[in-house]
Amino acid sequence: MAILSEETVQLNVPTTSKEDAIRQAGELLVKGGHVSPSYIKGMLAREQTMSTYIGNGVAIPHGTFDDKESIHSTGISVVQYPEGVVWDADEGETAYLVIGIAATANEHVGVLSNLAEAIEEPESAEQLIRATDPMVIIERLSRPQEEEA
Amino acid sequence: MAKSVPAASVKKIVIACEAGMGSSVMVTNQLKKKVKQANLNVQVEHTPARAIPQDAQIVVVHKGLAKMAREKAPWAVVLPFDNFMNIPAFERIIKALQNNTDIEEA
Repeated sequence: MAILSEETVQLNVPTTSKEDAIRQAGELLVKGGHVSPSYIKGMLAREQTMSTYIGNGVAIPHGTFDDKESIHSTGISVVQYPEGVVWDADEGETAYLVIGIAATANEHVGVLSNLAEAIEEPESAEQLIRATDPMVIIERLSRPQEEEA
Repeated sequence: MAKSVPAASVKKIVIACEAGMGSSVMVTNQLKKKVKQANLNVQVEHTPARAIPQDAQIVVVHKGLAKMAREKAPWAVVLPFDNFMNIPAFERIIKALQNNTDIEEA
């Protein structure tokens, strides 16, 4: 099963609350067959202990160590909010890409390394935030990596 | 007194986060590439903070998990960071390994 597929990418989603954005990212993981619905609760709980906002308009919600039993297979979902979702008003953090993660092993190292590279520069982050074709995101995040664990 | 490790003893560096599936995975390759560019012979891995391997000499971890990392891996030098997009500890580690100096807890 693919880690990231058209089934788990949703573009141009109207803005919503942070909690709903996490649910939407989680529901795509459910739809892709990667997790049980209970994993979404874990994602919401995890977010309360520490923010998964990583910078440059991207958040990576995922469950905790103890939620791993709700994972059937490693998967990544991408929800794009062109207007942004307020992640932390006090810190001025707004997420335009919400990347749901469910991982049992290391198969997703390449995808997350590509994500880290892609959002390092605001211009390339912008390309993902403005993409109108899911394949643009899938291809950018599925590039082979020079170094993989 | 700050805990430290001599560069020559560093064989494995781990990057830790809570579940070991998100942020630590994202940044592990950055450090791997830096290690490779500098031609250093050091292993780099990602791990959950509660399961830091015994053979890791350095742990790089978000400041929110630094306490847990120190408890779980009292033998290791723990280097906390604030921001995933900018981890100054990476440069510090590479420089120390290249110059063969000690790496100290900040």
